[in-house]
Amino acid sequence: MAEKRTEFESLGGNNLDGIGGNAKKITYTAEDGTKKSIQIDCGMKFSDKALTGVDNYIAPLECDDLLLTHAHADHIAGIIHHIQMNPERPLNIYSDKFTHQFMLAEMTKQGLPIDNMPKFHDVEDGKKFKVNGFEIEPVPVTHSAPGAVAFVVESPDGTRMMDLGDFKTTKAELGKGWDDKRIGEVFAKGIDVCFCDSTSTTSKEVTPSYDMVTKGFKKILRENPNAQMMVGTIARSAQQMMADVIAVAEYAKETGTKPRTFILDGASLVQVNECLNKAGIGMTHACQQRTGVRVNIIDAKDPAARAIPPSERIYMVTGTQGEEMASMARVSRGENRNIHPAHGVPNLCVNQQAVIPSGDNQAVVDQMMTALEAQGWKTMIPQRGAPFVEGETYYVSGHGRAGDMEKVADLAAANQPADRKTTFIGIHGDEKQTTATEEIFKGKGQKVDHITNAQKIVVSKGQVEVSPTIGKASRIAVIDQNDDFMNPDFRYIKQAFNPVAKKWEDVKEIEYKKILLSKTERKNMSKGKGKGGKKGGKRHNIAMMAKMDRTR
Amino acid sequence: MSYGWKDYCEIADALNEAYPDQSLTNMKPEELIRLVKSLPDFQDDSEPSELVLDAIWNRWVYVGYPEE
Repeated sequence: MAEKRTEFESLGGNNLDGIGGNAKKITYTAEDGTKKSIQIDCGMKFSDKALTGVDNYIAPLECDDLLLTHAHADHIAGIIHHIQMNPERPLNIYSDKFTHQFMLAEMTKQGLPIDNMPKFHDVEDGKKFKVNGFEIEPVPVTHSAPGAVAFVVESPDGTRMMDLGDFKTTKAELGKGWDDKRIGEVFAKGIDVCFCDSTSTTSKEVTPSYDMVTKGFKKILRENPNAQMMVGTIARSAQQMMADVIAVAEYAKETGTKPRTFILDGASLVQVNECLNKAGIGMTHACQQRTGVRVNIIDAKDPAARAIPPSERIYMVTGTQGEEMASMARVSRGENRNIHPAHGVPNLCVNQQAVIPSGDNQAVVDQMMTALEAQGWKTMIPQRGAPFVEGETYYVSGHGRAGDMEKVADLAAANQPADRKTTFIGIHGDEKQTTATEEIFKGKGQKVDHITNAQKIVVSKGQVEVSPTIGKASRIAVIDQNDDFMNPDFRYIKQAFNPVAKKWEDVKEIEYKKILLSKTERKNMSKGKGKGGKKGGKRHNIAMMAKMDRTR
Repeated sequence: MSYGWKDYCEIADALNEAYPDQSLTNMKPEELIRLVKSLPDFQDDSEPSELVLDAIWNRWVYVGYPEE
């Protein structure tokens, strides 16, 4: 007879060579030896194709029941590839409604056939549900992506684990977000093991709230009352965009002026705006409820956009890192038919994301901003690592710092039952980051442990232990053969980590029947001629998107 | 080449060709259905599901906005 136990295994995200590709599995083993598992997240890790020949690495998908914490590529972007490799798999996805809508948008972007779509289940705060024998409780947290949730997973033997997902401990602008009382209630019911986002825990203090962005953006509005504005943003991190919307509403209220209209230019912005509306957290409505001011949000194709005076416009645009085909870069080259410098008023471009230090990003962004200045745009961009200053800062991260972890430790200490202390484990980071997280909790008198990818935390009879052996970590290398996500043409290679040589090694190429088809292939299929294969088309920088997601 | 509701990629391509300047923000499902049914090669008498309509709209956004 087996000893019943619950195990947590990091399938990806606790990497020796950086962060990304997050995935976790929780398995319950009953006394008769039968096992039941669920997985949390299935993300992507960026690879520098020029160096490795690989676009991305995706985490394994080992369960048919998948909980998603939020809509960032390093947590969700592996899923569509796994569906392509195994389209008959009966996949159930449990997520917040925004994440669901966003997933659907991503799947349609790559042309996943309707019949191969997974079954989506929307989760809500306070509504527990059962999956494969586990009782799941979603708990809202704040992250740059709206609809971020933590999951409390209670296994059949009563073990309770909490994956906090990506989070910070200040309030959200969209959706419920982090609430100290709610988190305290969760700890009060007893949590055996809690897993914490380690992305920014080597930095001190608490990551500021989006209120700071609102204040900083209001200062920009105050100093540029007559300017036509263009603001570069990352669509999926819509909490920051909402902070801008609130700034516009508050500024209009304070000055008695007409609120500016947000004009969205770029597919992902239009998409995310619609995902928010469908999730019941549309920005116009949420802003009106909070401030009493209606801020209109339209897309750049709307004829009404041209009738708005330039000084009442804020173009929200994609392409903060200078992506070649994104809106801002096309404006800088004079190739964006919707956005041009206005005559007779100042023109201001605010790039609301610091340059991500990778490859030639700095040079590309510098070149774009210089080209905009040559057209007459005054430009602003935050400096990475610059101190946060109230009233000045107009960009904040969605990841908690050391101060946020201290707050979690304090909430646990104040609420956890005396006979059921939580063990805290740093995940979502490299060794330095996860260790930093654990040191913070240890310093606060909490129990801690440490795992790497493919290592298990085992809870049996209330005892929490790290498995002394480390399994074989695996991942799948994704090679986009034509660099064109609208006409997908992928190779997948399974890789395993060799702990002796400390490097990833190819195991085998994964054979699969292509279901993500190009336009030509679809036409040929419908004519019964089989596979086509026209290459070219729009270049889609998914690798950069994955990299941006894991740092926000 | 004729197509039905599930062929959302073909529908999005055809919509983008037929209505290149259409604003897609705040589009009502009834309006989307009307535009799809106006396409000459669309042949499907069934009622579209919400999933199908979402897929068409999302795909149209991606083919309609030159980005990324």
